[in-house]
Amino acid sequence: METLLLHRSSPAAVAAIPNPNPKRPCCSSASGLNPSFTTSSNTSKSNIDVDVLLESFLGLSESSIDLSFDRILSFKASYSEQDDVIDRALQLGSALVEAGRRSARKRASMHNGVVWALPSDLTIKVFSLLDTQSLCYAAAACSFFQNCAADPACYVDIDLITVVPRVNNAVVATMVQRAGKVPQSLKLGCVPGPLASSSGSSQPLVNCIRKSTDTARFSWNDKRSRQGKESSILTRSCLAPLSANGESTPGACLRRLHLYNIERLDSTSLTAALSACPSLLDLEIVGLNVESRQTLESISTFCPLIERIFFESSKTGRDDSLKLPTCNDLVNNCPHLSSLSLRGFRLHDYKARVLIKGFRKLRYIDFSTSYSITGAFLKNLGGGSASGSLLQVLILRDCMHLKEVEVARFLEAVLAGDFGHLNYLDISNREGLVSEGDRNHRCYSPSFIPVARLLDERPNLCVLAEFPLEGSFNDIEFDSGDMDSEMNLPSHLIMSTSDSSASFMSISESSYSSDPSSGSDDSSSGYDESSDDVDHVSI
Amino acid sequence: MASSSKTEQKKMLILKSSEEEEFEIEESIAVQSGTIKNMVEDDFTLIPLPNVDTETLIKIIKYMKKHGEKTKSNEKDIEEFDKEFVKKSFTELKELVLAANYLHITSLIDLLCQAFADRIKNKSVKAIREIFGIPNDFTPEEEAEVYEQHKWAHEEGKEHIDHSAY
Repeated sequence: METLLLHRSSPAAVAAIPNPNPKRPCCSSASGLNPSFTTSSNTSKSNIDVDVLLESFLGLSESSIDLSFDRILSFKASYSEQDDVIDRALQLGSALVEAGRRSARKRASMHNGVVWALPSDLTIKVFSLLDTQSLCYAAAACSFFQNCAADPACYVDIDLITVVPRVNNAVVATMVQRAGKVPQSLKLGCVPGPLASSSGSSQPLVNCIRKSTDTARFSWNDKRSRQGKESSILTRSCLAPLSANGESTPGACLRRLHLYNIERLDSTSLTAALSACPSLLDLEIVGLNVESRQTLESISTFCPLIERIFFESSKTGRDDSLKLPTCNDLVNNCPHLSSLSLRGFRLHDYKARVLIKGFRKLRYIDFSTSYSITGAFLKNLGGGSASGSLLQVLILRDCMHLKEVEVARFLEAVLAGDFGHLNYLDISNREGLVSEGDRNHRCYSPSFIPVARLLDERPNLCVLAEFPLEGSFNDIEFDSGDMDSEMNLPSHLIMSTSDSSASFMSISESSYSSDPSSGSDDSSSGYDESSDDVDHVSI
Repeated sequence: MASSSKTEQKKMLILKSSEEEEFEIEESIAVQSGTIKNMVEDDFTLIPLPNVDTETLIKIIKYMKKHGEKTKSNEKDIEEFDKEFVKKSFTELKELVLAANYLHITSLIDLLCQAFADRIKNKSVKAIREIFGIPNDFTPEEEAEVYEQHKWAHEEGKEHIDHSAY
């Protein structure tokens, strides 16, 4: 208990202002007080004295304090004495203010308990549903929230995705540490756009290649301007906390790891991180400077349980490192893979084939923006009980060398009954498909698609084939990996049918006209004959 | 969607609120509450709930009735109901979650916690305090420390952070 320090003199009217002149009359109502020397709360009598004194002081009006203070000062003989008086007033005044504030805080804490009313376990439950950034805001609201926010349960899903680079290694380390041994999901990096994190769902917004490179450029410039300030970027050892602590590594329970546009993370660091995460089920890598071969090798070595791989290259079309042995390793070591997205790599048909045939449980394939792939890998794939028959989603957007004839062949196979589970096919291409016969000609019209027959025989199948009118780039965003998601597609050609609703087809006339500026005059004759040229694939 | 029409087997319970008001409810629906289930197993038919006031109890019974009739076909319907159910004031939600916690109705607890989380998400510190009426009880030093710890989250320039309490 704090007591006021009283000097050896008769107490003045105002709280404990030293009055060196004992003859000064005491106007205080606390009459009869002896001078006390107490500096600690030893004697209870002096405590009571102080209490009485303080209470009577608190009963004074501000103006009377003011006037009394002035009077006291005026009676001081020397300048230094006046100085002393003023100093004491300031000191004791702030002591009183601090005591008041402290009590106010205590009351506020108690009031929180009444106002918020939720006990810790419920509060922690609420907090565990928050994204990490909101969690930090909540923690700063009051001390109770701060305590609750420190519970490991709130850090099961660590989401450190920001729009601009803001998170540094220390933050990652702190969060992982707070999660104790139970981080299940870690999302890290920079994603541009409004939706930096997906609330709770395991499917974040997909960036198309162009966006991710834009981000990389942007974030680099930003980093340059930050040089000299404290580093707020992630370096290559940012994932080291996952491997920390020797035996019981935090990474051991990690199920989901999503990394976006962390420029400095290289293959070695990524491999080290993956080696600490044997339970990994869902890995998403966008815009990292890692090679496909090394990354996929690491995955096949360290993450046998993996179910979903989403891998978008940072060097669109130039990463050629994926070789056949790696594909074989991956297929052999990761039998549970059900969703595979390799975007922006130089992928050849035979490698794609190995991958698709090898994964028994594969349901979702996305090879968008792959170079070299022609679609030949689709031949003879889905028959009977062969692998690939479980396939539900196939996305081959913007594959520059995808041949129209191969797609047509594939669709014939679909009509013949293969790929019985397929419900979504996307072959949109901003530069059209490769026309038959002449690689210099592009096919811009989806007329090779046997629409009527598809509607008839495969009513569940949704085919998206967007080709440009003016060669303009159409940017479509959609939820990846989610079979049941709604497609909000503004395109001028969508074919979609479904069981319960009436089938609809909207094909705008304009999509059939070949674009004169594209220079492919022959395309108009090309696609009319394409369906005649389709081979019927025998199963 | 109607409960089974074997009326002779439909056992009714009486729930009594803290204000002594009584409400009849089918046992099959009431046992969505773990607490009530336990009491039923101990052969109670009149179940006093001194921690739950009348208004809250009425809402909880409404919830349990809706969720007790869950079938495959009305899932969307129930989703809509849930969405509307949480459009309540903070005070009401607070009472509800405390009651749901006491009654051990897991699905309701989850629903309400999510509603709270949704109201906290993407709000600034100030807004959080305002919405929930939580006074700041940090010392200036403590507050500085908290901000320092989460510095990355508190930097300027977050367009999507809502500084207003709605």
